[in-house]
Amino acid sequence: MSTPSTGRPASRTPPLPNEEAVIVRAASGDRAAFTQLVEHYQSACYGLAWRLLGDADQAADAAQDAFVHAYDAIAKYRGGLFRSWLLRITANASYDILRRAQRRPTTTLPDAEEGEAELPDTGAADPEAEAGRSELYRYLDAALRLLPEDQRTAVVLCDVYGMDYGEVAATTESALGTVKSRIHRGRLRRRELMAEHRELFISEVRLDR
Amino acid sequence: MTMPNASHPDDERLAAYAGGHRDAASDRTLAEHVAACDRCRPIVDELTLLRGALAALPDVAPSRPLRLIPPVPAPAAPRGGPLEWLRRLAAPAMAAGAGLVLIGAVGASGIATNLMSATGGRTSTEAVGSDSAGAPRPRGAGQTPVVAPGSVDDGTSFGSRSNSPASATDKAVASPRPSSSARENDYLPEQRSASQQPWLTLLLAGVALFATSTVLRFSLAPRAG
Repeated sequence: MSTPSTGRPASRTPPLPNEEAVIVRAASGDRAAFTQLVEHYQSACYGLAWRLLGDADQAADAAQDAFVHAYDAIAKYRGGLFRSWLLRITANASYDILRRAQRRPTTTLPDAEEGEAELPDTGAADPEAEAGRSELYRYLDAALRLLPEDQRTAVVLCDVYGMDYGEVAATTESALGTVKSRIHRGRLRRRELMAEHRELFISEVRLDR
Repeated sequence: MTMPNASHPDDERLAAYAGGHRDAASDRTLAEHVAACDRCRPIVDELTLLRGALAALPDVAPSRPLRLIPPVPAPAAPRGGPLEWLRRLAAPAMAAGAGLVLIGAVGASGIATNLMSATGGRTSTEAVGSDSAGAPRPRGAGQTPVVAPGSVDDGTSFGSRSNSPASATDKAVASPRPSSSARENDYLPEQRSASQQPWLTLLLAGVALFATSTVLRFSLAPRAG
C-alpha cells in the first residue's frame, strides 16, 4: 500500500492506431493529418487547460492557442509520446493565459447538486460505469481548484498529467526546488480538503482499483 | 529520527515519498518508519490513493467546438515578386485618383458658383447664361474681349470690384468709367476660366492616376492557382 502507484490511467485518450504515420504526414504539411491528430487529442488538451485555468472559455482559448503552436512546431517534432508533446504545448499556452489574466478563480467546493453545473461533462463513454466514478472526479477536480494557484498548477501537471519535476519547472518558469515544494505542499493541502469526503473518496478509489 | 517512536518525518517528505520521488522512495529508513508508524502510514496511504485517483482523472470534452487548425495563410504575399509593392500601392492610388477627380469636379463647379453669386444681380442673367452654356465666353465670338492681365484700367476696375462688396454704390458714384460695366462682363468669363484651371488640372490628374493605378492593379494581379 505504501508503494507509490505509477500506472498509466485507462480513462485517457489512447494513441491513434496509425499515429506514427499520421504524424509524419502532418509534419510534412498535410493539414488533414494534423486535423486528425488534434481532433483526437482535443479532449486531453482541453481537460488540461480547464484544470489549470478553471474557466471553460479560457480553456478553449488555450487549447486553440496550443493547436496553432503545435501546427507551427510539428515539423520539429522528434519522437516520444505525441500526447505528452501536445500536452506540454497546451500547458505552456495555458500558463501564458494564466499569467496574462493574473487572476485566481474563486470557486468553492461544490455541493452535489451544484457540481453538475460547475463542472463540465467528462465525455463518459459508458454512462453506467462512469456514474460511480463521476462524483469522485468532481470532488477531485473541485479540490484541485481550491488549491492556491502555484500549487494547483504544479499538482495538475505532475500528478494528473504525469510530467516530471523538470517539465513542470520549465512550464511554470520556476526553480526545481520551488516546484518540488509546491507539489508536496499541494498534495498535503489537497488531502486536507478531501478529508471531509474521506468515506466517499476511499470507497470509490478502492472500487476503482 | 526515523525510528517508529522517534520524531516523525516532515509531511512534505511524506508527500514526496507517496509521490514516488526518487530520493524519498529510495530512502530505506523513511520506508521503514512509514511502514511501522501509525501516524505516518495512513497519511502516505491516503496520499498514494489520491495520487492514483488524480492520475485517472478523465479527459474533458470541450465546452464549445474548437478551431482545430489555423486558417490558411493569405496566399498573395510571396507570389507578387519584385513588383508586389507596386501592386499593393495600386488600390490606395485608385482611391486617391477617385478622390482627386471628386475634389477637382467640386472645386471647378464651386468656383463657378462663387463667381456667379459674386457678380451680383447686375450680371446675373449673363452669368447664368454663360454657366448654362458651359463655355467661358458665350457672347459675341467676333468681339475681342481679350484683355491683357497687366492692363492698368481693367486691373484696377476688377480690383475695386472684388475688394469692395458694396460696389453698386461705388459704381454709381464713380461714373468716370462708363465703359467699365461692359468690359467687366467681358472680362468675367476669362477670369473664371483662369481660376478654374487648377481645379481642372486636379481633375485631369485624378483621372490619370485612377486609370494608371487601375491598369496596374489588374495587370499585376497574382495569377490564380
